[in-house]
Amino acid sequence: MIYRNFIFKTILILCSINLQIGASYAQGDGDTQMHYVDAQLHPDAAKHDAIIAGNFDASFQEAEPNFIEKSYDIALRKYQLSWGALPQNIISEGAPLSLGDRGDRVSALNQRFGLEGRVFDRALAKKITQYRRAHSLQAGAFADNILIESLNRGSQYYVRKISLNKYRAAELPSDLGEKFILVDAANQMLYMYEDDQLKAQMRVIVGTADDPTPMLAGYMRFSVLNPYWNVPSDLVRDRYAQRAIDGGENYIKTRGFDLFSGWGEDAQRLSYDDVNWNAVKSGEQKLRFRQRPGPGNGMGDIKFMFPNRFGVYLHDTHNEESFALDKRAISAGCVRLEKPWLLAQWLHGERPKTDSNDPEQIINLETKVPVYISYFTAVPIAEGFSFREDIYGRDVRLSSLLEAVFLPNALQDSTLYP
Amino acid sequence: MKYILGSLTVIGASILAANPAYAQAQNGQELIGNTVDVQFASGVRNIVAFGPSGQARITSADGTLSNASWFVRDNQLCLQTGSVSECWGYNQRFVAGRSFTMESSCNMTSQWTARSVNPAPVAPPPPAEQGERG
Repeated sequence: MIYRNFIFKTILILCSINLQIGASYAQGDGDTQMHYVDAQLHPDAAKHDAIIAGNFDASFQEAEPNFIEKSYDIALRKYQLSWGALPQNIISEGAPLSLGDRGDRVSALNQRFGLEGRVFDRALAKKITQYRRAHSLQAGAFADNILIESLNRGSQYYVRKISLNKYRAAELPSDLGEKFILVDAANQMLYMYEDDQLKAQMRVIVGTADDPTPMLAGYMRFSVLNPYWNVPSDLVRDRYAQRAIDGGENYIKTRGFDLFSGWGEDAQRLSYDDVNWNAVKSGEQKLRFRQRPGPGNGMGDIKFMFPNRFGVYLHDTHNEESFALDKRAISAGCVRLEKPWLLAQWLHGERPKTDSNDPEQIINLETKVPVYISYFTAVPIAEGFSFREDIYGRDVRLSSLLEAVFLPNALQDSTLYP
Repeated sequence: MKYILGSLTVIGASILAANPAYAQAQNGQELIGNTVDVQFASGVRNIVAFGPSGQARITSADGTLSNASWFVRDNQLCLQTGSVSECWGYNQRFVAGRSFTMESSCNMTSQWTARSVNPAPVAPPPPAEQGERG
């Protein structure tokens, strides 16, 4: 369990030599590591409590892996048994090879799969078919350059990638919650779980590589019908100030924006002409941009709130055609939902309704529901793993972090994954 | 008292043999709730468990268990049983799985290897302005 041990620990500060202890949780930046909006969702919450209580024995107890991490354990072990111990010889790329072909490249392929001979026979075809399934490659018994490129990466490449994702699974608590929401930003999907069983899933839109959706764990506490969209200051500066300059007052009016001098209760409502737009654009002047509910509102008709410092939430959108895209990393960081009312009904037990057009109608959840926004570039499937594009480049950064900070060479050490 | 760690007899200056590349004052937070293997040149091996409120348990190779306390003072990591203490120079965080050669105030050299450590605190990201990113 070395791997778990070095992952999640409470951060404790010995305040003075008399061992007075103050404590806070290890807090990730949301990019390489999970950021915990609610401390109770930290995997080591129980251990943290034990440390605060000064309970010696309990403070050494490791958190039980959650069922997602366990699935990684099992799948990784299976992967290593099937593919980890094979020769890692390099195969030349070239014309596709299939049953009946022979020659040096076939010989190299046979060697790579622990077989012998210069002929592409049924045994090799079977191995290639299995390998393709295990790596989510196009099905078939042929060896094209895509397969060869995968083989030439070597099993350690995949073991490392799987291990990084196992780490991310281990960032989730042992008890994920009776009901919980899992957003996988890498796959741009949302999953609704109940009693550890998948109940429903939907496509989502997540942040671009420049505005990535952070990894968060927090409790969903309420929904908002007829929501305002409160535009964060950096988006006002970087995006909307220029649009307001270009489009003039008409742009502000037609888009339904209200302007305020700040975020406080004493903020003054401003007209278009009250604003020095160039100062807003340069960041010298802060301006609160609020979009009224209605068609075109950035939050759609409902938003789901778990207050956090990143300003990232789940919400509806009126731009529904975007869900047909294969690559849906196009938002400013929020998670836009394909089926917001399905989620609303599941969360509230019924579809939330209102007879009023009043803006920002808050509907509290009877029971708060954990939301985990994570990022999985390798996911266990029945035959092996589904490998996804690392759209935010987080695998490299996490790999560097683990090597530099925690345990050098840990990710190459196969003994960590018995 | 059996041969546990050095001799736990003298408090004094000591040296961290592993040259710290980023030496700074440490407080031992990375050790809390974790265990460290301590190996002496003689082959004697002890396991030290660092508890949350300064408690420590030292287990020798033959299973003998000793309760102790631990603390950090003046860049030294100290263990104390009863009225006797032994200290080791300590100005670099332990790293899980990495061995450090340390010399004690009792002039005993030993290798310390933390099995696991708590991570260094991560600087929180700057707070976002209020609002929803959309």
